[in-house]
Amino acid sequence: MRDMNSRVWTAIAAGCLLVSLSSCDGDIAGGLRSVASVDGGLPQADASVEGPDGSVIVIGEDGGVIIVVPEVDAGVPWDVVPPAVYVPRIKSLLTGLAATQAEIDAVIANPDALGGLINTWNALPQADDRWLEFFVSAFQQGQVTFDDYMDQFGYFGGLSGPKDSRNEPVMLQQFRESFPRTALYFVKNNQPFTKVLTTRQFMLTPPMAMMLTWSDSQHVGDNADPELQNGRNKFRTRFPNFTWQADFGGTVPLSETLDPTSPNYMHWNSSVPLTSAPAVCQVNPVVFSNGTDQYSPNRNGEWLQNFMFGRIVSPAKVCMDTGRGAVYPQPPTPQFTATEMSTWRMVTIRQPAAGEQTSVFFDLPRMRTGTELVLDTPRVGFFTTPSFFANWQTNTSNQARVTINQTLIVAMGTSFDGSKSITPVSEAAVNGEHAAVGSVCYGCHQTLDPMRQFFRQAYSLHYHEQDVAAQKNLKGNFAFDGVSVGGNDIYALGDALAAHPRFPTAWTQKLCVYANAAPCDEDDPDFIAARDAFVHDNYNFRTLVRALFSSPLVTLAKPTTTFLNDPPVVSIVRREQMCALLSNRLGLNDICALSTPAPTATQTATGKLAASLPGAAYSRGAELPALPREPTLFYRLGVEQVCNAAAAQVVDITGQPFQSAQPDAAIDLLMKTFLEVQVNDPRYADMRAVLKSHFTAAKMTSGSDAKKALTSTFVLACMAPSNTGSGL
Amino acid sequence: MNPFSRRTALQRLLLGSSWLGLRALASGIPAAVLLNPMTALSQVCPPPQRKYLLLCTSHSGDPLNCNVPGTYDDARIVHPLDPLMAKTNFTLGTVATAAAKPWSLLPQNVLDRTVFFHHSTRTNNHGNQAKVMRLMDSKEMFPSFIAKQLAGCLGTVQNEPFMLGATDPGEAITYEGRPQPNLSPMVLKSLLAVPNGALGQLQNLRDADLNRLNNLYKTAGNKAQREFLDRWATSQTQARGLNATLLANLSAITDNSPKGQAIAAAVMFKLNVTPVLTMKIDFGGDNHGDTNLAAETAQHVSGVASIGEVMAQLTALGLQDQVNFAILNVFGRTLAPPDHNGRTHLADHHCSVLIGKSFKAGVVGGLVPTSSDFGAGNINPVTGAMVATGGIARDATLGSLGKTISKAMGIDQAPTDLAITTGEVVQSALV
Repeated sequence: MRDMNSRVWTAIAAGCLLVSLSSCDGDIAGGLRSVASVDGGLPQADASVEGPDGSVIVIGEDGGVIIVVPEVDAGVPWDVVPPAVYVPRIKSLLTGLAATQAEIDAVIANPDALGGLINTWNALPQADDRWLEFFVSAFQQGQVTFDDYMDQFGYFGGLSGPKDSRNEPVMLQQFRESFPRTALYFVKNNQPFTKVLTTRQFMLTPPMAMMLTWSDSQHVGDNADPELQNGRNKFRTRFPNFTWQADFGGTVPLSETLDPTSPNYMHWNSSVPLTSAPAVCQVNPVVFSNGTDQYSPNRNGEWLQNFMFGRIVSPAKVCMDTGRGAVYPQPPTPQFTATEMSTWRMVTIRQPAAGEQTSVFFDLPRMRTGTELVLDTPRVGFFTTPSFFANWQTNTSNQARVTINQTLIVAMGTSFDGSKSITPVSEAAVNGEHAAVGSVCYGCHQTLDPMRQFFRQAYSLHYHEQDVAAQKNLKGNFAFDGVSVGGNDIYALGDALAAHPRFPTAWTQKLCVYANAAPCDEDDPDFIAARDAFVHDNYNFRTLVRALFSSPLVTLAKPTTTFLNDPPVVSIVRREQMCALLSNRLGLNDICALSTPAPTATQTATGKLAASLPGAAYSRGAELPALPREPTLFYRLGVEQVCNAAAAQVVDITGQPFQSAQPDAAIDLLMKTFLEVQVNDPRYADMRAVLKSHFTAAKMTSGSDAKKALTSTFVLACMAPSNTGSGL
Repeated sequence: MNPFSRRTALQRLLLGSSWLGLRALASGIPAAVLLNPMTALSQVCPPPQRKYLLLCTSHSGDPLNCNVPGTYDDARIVHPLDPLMAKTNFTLGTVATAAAKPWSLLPQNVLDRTVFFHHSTRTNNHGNQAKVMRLMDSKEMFPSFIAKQLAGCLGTVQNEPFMLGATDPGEAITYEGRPQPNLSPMVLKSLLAVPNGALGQLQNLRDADLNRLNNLYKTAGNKAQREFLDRWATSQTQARGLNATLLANLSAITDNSPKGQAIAAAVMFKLNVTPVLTMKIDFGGDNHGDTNLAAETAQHVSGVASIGEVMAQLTALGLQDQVNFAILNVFGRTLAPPDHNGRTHLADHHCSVLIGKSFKAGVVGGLVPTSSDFGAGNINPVTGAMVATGGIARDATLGSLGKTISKAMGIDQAPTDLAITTGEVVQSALV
């Protein structure tokens, strides 16, 4: 075995003996080094195999595998990045927190310690928030407004109609976070990350469960219009002549409310008595029976769904004025408590067995604590969530092609361009109107259309349950990049994606882009090693993070083929990173209100300023997320304002450590919090002197004082390059 | 094998050489400017095509369509009874017309470049604001398309449009699918205003000390780090180099009202920040229960005055010939409600107001009775007149509006036709 340095990766699974190093071609010369380290241990070599192009695979006595990667040509100029730079960068990426001197020293003493530190950081609650934000973008669950859900939840039946400023932001946030929380559950429980493609369990809150159940009880088919409410209302069919009443000040037990044999069946309480309704609405109880609807008959189920959220509409015969003015009775008490509104739990969503009834939305006990929903509409993986569908709405022309393409982008990092497609098992679903046989379009449609049929088979164009027999009976066919699989249902698509060899590559690449704001070379041995570590540890996401983030692809501590032609670039700290950094390092709760549906005035104001900072985003058809890297003048101005807003929340605030009466202590803390230059760094004294002299000069400035001086010093430190550039 | 195949492909797609593409994408600074910042602007964008778009939009579905020229031809159409909204004759260029009084109060030089474009948005649902921004059929939003087409020519600081006046998440716009910020006038003022007195002195002091910190980081920095530090320092130079006189205009902003938005828009265009901005002006809002159409009346008076304010602010900065203004809301409202106490949503009719040097004043299209109310009539694409049959059908009028604006912005027909698949340009609306 040739020149091996101290970093060794031990493959975990016994079955991972053959690790492809075919990419290590003759362009890479020089010494050998091993890739990625998990535990830092160096197992005893039991046997070794000469890999292609000089690589070596060493089989340890414990059955593990050491992959030894050829060193990149030493002749390539390479700026070595030291632990003092990459340790803070990686910790900030993972948690938003500043690295400690001890952590940096540990890695200086033993670079392999980084893997352990990454494990430790990943276990911090701040890491959960960072991964949630990453997953929102990676699974394409954000970038929508509540209106985008209208196709699925209806217009009046959802939380639309008169704007509901209280519940809409909450529900929007919950739908945005639902699948990211689901993925995080798998990560934290060391479950295979492939479950993001196959899971039928989702993190839901009680109101989310109710909205999904409500949506399932409606049906907006291909030719129906959610605006016109002309779909097939399954709820109305199941509960003809549905009548209920709102009892302001009522005391009917829920068990009686839900008991069809009780005289109090469907008598719903509002614990707040009727006191402030407009005169025309001073009727109690408010009865919703057939024909009392102001818009159309038999919408009483929808009004009950609204009632659950503490809203009540205007039953025409009870509470309307001259026929035009919309008068709304006094809001009732919401049926979900504040705690229930934000209690997450894993819920299995399954389709009914033969003869089985689906869940009903007013079954509050099930909505609140049940672990299973029985719905006609299938749900599986990230690609059938309400948020994914809200992002990628389809229509009669598109026919779910956007849905399958975005699914491929998320799952496999590849947009459909025909280059990786193979002839499908069946071409029955090819749309002849879109692409005639022999036309230039046919090549793509030949494989794209059978793949999108997975969605058309399962869903209407409004993402309700498909009920058109011709569509239901036409199977989907997955044919992509060497894999061709037919399937009877949407679940088969998840299975095909989970088994596809591009999945681990795609997610390794997503993390590369997340860390570097640029893609890695997928043939880079370090990339392959991280990917394979992920695969061999049963798709353990944390193993992937540990393997990749401790590799030169992220540390930049050593040359690696990714950067031979395109050197690494220091990127700006983007909006979501900056907000996490300030929140976590200053102990402020979600300073920019990125995930707070009901923010304080201070959070709102800071969030508006932070909006001027570019953040990560995804686009239709784009394989890579848009990750702005340049410090534009608006970024410069925005950072200054956000730092100013942060300063206002901590400088001379009781209980905060940044007190102008103790400037030296405050400046020491600023050095740790923002400048991230450790005491033993030769630049430390000079940098501290800059802050100190700034405070002194600012204090002496006409019209200034100690507080203004410390505020300015805080802003200066907050804008330091270490805080605005990722990797300084 | 090529060890860089996939990454290289991705990189090349985005970057070209010298990371130029990504720098342009990331910074929003067009590649032409990055390549040759001193000459790019004048070389690639002759004055006739130097156009910016100020798009006024609201997802409230205001009754904007109810009191414009063309709505006084049928007695069944209901108008507010308030004298402030009395039918008033005036001219649009050489075209004699009549509308509610506030429209007649716009300066004649504004009216002489104003087009009232009758069309349909094909939806009566607030939730479809985003779809209307995509003109119902397009893949990307109209502001995104226009911005993308113009940014290179204009050499704007950023390609992306942003919002000045959105008040509801539903009014969000995207650029290539990515959400863009709502930078209200007060936020912009805060970002860009030059502080006076002690705060100004502290800022100067801080700038100098930040440069000192940059230099200290540079001493131990590698190439990538030094490059970032240079760019970071440049951004400060750019920020402080913004025309102070222009920025001083922002001090007149006192709130996020249409006037504040007008000031902010004019300054942003003058600073060549973005090709497209959106703002919001109310013309009665979602006035289901609008007793005596009082809100409709009050907000028409204030709304038309706000348009006048927009034009005044643009003129003050010499932008009156470089900015085209257009209104496109999610839908119009019923023209023939049973009484004067409110209007409901109407998918079949909306009226866009187009103002700018590129537009030839007049009225495009008109109204025809429908089974329940009124709807936009077919349009002759050459004369702009309403026609009984043929021409541009109602469902294609939204696309026609988009194509007409696009042509007014100097954008070629080919990319327009690719992006907007319905309708055709109405020639008579353009000079």
